[in-house]
Amino acid sequence: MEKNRRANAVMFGFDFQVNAAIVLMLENIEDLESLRLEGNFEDIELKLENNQYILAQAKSVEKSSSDFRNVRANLKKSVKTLSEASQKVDAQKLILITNSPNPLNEEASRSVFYEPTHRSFSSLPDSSQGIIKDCLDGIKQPLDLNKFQIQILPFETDDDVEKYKVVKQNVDDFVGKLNLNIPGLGKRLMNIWQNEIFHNGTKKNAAITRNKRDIIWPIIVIATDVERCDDLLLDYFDQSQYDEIIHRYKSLIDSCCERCEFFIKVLHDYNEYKGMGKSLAQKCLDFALNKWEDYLPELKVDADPETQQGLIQIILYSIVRNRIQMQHIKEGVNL
Amino acid sequence: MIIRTVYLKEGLFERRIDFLPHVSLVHSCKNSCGKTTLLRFILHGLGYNIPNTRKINFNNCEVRISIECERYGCIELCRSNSISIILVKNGVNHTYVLPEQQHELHEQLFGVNNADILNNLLGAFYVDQEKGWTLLNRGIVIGSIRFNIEELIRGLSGRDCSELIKKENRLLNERQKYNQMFSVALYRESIEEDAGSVAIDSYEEETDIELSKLILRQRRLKAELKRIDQTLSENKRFKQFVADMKLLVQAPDGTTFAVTQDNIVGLNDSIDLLTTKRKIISGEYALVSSKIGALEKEKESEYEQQAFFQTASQIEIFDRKILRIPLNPQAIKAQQSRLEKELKAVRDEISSITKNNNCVVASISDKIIQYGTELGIGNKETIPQNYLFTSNLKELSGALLHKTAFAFRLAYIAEIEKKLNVKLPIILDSPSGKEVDHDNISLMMEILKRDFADHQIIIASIFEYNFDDPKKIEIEDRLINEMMEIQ
Repeated sequence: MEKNRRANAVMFGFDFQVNAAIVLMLENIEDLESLRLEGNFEDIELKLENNQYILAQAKSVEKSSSDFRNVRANLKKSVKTLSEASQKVDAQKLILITNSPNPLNEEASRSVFYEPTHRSFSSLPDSSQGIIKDCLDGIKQPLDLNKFQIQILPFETDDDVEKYKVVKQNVDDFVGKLNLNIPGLGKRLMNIWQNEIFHNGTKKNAAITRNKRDIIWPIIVIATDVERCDDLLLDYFDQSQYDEIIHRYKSLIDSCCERCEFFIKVLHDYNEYKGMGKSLAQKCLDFALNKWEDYLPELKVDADPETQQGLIQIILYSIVRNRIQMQHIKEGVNL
Repeated sequence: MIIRTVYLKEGLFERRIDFLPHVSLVHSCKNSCGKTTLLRFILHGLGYNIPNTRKINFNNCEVRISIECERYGCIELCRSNSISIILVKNGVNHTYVLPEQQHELHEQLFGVNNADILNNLLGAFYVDQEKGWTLLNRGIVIGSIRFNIEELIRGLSGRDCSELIKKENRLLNERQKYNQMFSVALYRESIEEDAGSVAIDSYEEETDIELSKLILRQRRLKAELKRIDQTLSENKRFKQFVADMKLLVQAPDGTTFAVTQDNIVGLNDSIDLLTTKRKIISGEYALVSSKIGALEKEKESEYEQQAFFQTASQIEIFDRKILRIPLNPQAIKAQQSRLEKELKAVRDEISSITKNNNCVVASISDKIIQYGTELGIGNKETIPQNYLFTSNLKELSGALLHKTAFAFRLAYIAEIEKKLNVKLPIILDSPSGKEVDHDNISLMMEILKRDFADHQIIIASIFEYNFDDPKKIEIEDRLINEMMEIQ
């Protein structure tokens, strides 16, 4: 029983660490180069493009809103580890990220940490500053308090919706900024990230680096999925007709979009296509609607003329649209 | 048959009780001293399976009974456990295993080998304090021993219905099964009503559907992975091919530059996209595969009955399994009534073989009427000939039932004596119970004195009875009361 409870507590700790990493990653996505969990220096290690680091200690408490017995000990441990780590690398920020709404176990700062919070050392009440300074006593080379931050990430209960609500909000905000307009993207993305990163986090020799590519490409995979029909396309296609074509020819469409010998040709033709004074999306659609016959010899399938035409149009549209989406997302996150 | 002596031993205590060939009264002034226990000890010692009384466990005691029977003379029986009994005849010990060899043992005692008779002798000669005085022609004598008048009559008149009885038992068995089926069918109907539908998938079916869905998905993912791998390698080959061509191109502004694998628009992106897609899909593939594994394992252990499906409670599973059995209450009902008819026909046949033109029936009935008249139960007009087979006990109450039971027993004993020439002992436990008044008891005892003078009569009671020179066996406080002499 005891063992089980401890195992659960360990799992909870991992879970928090992963989600804290996601949140920190999203906050710094533009400058991010890579992300490392259980890294050499800290629980969470973000390497930035300017070769500086953001180091974070993730400290979670299962019953965070009522149990404050260990928060001071956590604080002390964190500043000690952060102090040691900051000697080894050029740290831009040193963060204690926790789910406790009362990380100093102190009345004066309780209201400060109530919600998702980012507080630098200097913005804390004097009494809180005193508590942190006390923790640094006895450390030979204490951390630079100007870089120290306490960040609160609410994370409690066994109910996933409740537990991940702030993480989900962060992911949704990020997706919103990319302006992709894909329903359910936030949730799918959060799942992929959690499972992708969590998987590495639970391995014994844990430290595995994820570079920015690894983190961003799943978004592009979801954004370029042909099963989702763009609104623009729906003006020309009946939803059922679109679904029917995707159902029958999905692997052919995917192949065409992915095989460079083919898509390079299409991109070339698109480049030559004159769509004067039209938006990018409109030009893309025009191209697919008008140029499909050029590809008939190559993409002849055994189907009625209408389906044949729709199929080629969808392929052409998808190739160009995917290209635009990729470019758009990569720019959005500075990849 | 006459019981001469009974020797009882329990631990360090023992008691030897002698009985007279005619009347012995087991008497105590108080209740709960051991009168009934003594009577039951006798029956236990005769090889019957008799329940203990509260104070004494028969299995811890030894009983030795000396009897004198019509056929083999003096016999001694010795029983010290529930599973065997030793019969000593002419100085030779014979061991009988009980209850398997009970008939063989009783054949020695009563000189009869007809099972129909042996099964029903106890009910004729022993009247239990509780059940005995309400038992007329069918029912429990004591413990699990039953009495059935039809069986006794068939035995006495030498009529054999064993084939018909076998058939009756078979039909009864079938009927019981159909009854069970019917209640299951009703239960099934009630589940159906609750569920609002007949077409509920069984657990196996649901799991199978889930499994085939997963397998289909697994196959699709596998095909997708294969396609991605193929495209990836094609793209990489193309990339290499372009790099090896070492082309130079000129831009519109006149600058020239080399075509490398990195400046072809979309090429590296497509490879990155495919790599990521592959990672996501193989993750899904692993998940689906592990789900399939888990389901298959669950199915296997359910199949081997090691465990039930974890996704449902046992009640749900039971319900679903019941739902899978096609049961039609109407059809079962039809079968039940068919069986009922058949059963009735068989029983009628048994009854007609038993009763029709049977002098034993007439003779017993005559005796019942004779004793009934004497005891004031009725007369020739009010007691019909077939009253012997009555199943209406409700009309009889109190002393009337008491006396009727007595009259029936005496009629049986008289008939058994007439037919088999065996004088059964008459063992009555508390004949004065049930608020039967003194006059009635006197009437009953008069009959015993007159017609059964040469039978051994053993009566246990707290009352005194007016017999000539009876042997009085007093029981004070406890039945087995003498310390054994230590030699």
